[in-house]
Amino acid sequence: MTKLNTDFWLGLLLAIFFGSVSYFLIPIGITNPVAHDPGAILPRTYPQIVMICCTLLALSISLKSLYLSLRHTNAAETTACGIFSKACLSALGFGVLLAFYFYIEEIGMIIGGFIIYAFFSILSGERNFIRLIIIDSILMSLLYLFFVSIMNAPIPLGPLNEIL
Amino acid sequence: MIESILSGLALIATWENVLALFSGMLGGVVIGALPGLTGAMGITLALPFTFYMEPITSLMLLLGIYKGSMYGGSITAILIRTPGTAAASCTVIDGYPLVQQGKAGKALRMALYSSCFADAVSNLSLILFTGFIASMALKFGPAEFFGLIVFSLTIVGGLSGSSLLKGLLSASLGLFLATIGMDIVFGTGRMTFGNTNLLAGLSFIPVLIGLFAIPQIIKSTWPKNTVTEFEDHLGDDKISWQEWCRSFKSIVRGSIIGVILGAIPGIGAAPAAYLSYSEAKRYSKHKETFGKGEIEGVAAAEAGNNGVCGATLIPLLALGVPGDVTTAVMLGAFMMHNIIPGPQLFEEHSDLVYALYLGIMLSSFFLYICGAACIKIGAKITKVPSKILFPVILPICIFGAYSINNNPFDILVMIIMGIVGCLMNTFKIPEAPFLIGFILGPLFEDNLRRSMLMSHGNISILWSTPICWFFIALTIFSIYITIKNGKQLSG
Repeated sequence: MTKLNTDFWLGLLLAIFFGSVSYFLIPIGITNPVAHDPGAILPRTYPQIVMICCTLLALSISLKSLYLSLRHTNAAETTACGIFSKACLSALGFGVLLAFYFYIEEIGMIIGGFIIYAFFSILSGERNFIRLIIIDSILMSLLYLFFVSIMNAPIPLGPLNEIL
Repeated sequence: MIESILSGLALIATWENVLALFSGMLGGVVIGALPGLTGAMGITLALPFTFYMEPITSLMLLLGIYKGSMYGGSITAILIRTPGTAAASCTVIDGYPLVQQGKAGKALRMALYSSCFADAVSNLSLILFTGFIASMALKFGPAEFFGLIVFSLTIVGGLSGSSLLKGLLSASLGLFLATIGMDIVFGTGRMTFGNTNLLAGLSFIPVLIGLFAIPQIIKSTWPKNTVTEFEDHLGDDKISWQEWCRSFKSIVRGSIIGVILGAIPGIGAAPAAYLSYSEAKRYSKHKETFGKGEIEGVAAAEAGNNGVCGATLIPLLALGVPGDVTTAVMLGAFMMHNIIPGPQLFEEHSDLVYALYLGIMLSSFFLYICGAACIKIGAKITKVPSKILFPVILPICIFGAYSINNNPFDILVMIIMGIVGCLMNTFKIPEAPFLIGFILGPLFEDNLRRSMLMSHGNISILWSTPICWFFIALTIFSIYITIKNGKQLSG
């Protein structure tokens, strides 16, 4: 039997996930009222129908992939060179963004934005650190001017709250 | 009538009004281009400043911002795959691949021409057909809306690329995420798990930025031999006569679609853009090139979204009913100056109405000037190396996402949708159907449930009027064509 490709496992995983959402998460997350108008569709009905459709579609993707892999002799999928490094870089990037979100009140958006720009810039290959700092400073200043001074958005400033 | 037109001309033909319109247009383009900022936000910011202006001057300023923001979103959508507005998300599909092929100038120019054309068509519709279109819009009840939304959802087939199943899955996921929030009938929380931030549902702009911009920014950190670099210049920016002829039908069709959907309150520009794109692909002789840098795709998307601009003013002026959030704010501007939109507006303030019409026609010309200037600025953006450009975009996206509701939770939504976007890219699941499902989902469910409530559970309300039957026929035809095209492509 030929090696099953990514779509088969993706479909299966998604079908399990959507099925779980439909049968476990939705009943917990959505409460149906006791009394209601006879014509009223209950809050849980529509999301459950959509999730059941998602489950069926995911299963269809899986079955289609299985059918195609049985029909054709596929060469084993070659992984792109550096796929591990792509996944690591993506995980690192998202990790930094999530850390920014969780510490946003402590460090503030200006300092946080400064760090985020510097981090992603270095990750993207920038090695001219003077240019990095200059662009970062100008960018944060402009963002502060626009969002705080002009738009009066109450952005968390963290330690800069007392200074600005 | 001639006297009213002349009074209107006298009212509009002052340097303050012309300056207000032009500066509003320019500001609107900038606001539309920045991710996280919308035309509605720009108009809301400008509203207090208009208090001391003459009514027509304030309306010109707000109109300029509205129209500018509609076009502005397409600039960043094309150049850096970061749509500034929801409607511009459709332009990304073919706009960004054109940039990767070194044809950024061509894409920007076609977006500009089709925007100006569609805007002019929309303005003419407003001037000539306000009464007729408004009376048609009044005939739309929940059942008719539901039929229209079901038809609009069939455009998912045209946006699914090579895998219809993955497209449908993506759209269904969008429909599901749109259910998070408060139930519209019973007022109970759905999938909020006690988190008050989710009671209002997921904000659209963070979802949009997360789905389109964040994966692109993450990709920019990958080793360079795994990322497709694009030409860092505008390239050949002239549109050939052949390309123009090929796209013209789609531009006209998109403009009409934009006018029709814009005149119906509550629909918005994004569904118009996607419907226009889907119809262009359906009737094109080059279906297989859509999604890979087809200039006709850019033209159709922009025609659809700009065709809405003038038409959204139809329900506002004729009925006093705002068509979307932006026109709702403009209604505030009218009322600030003691002008009540509606049927009596045409009798009591006919000179103002004609001044507005003349200003609207002038706005199409100013849109061309502002757009042409932005193409030159766009040339500078393409020269910025990606290692500087994408990290700059990221803080702008973060600040923009935060400023929607001044809530850090929207940043988390943006990040999570970024992860979803990356996974969708990895497993080749198209994002556009997700966006369609997310935008149309609330309208789909709301109108279905309202119809069921009105009919006390009798489902026959969904096919009870000629308008419903019209949309059912269109839906069946659309599904048939999608299946037929799918068989042709796989055969």
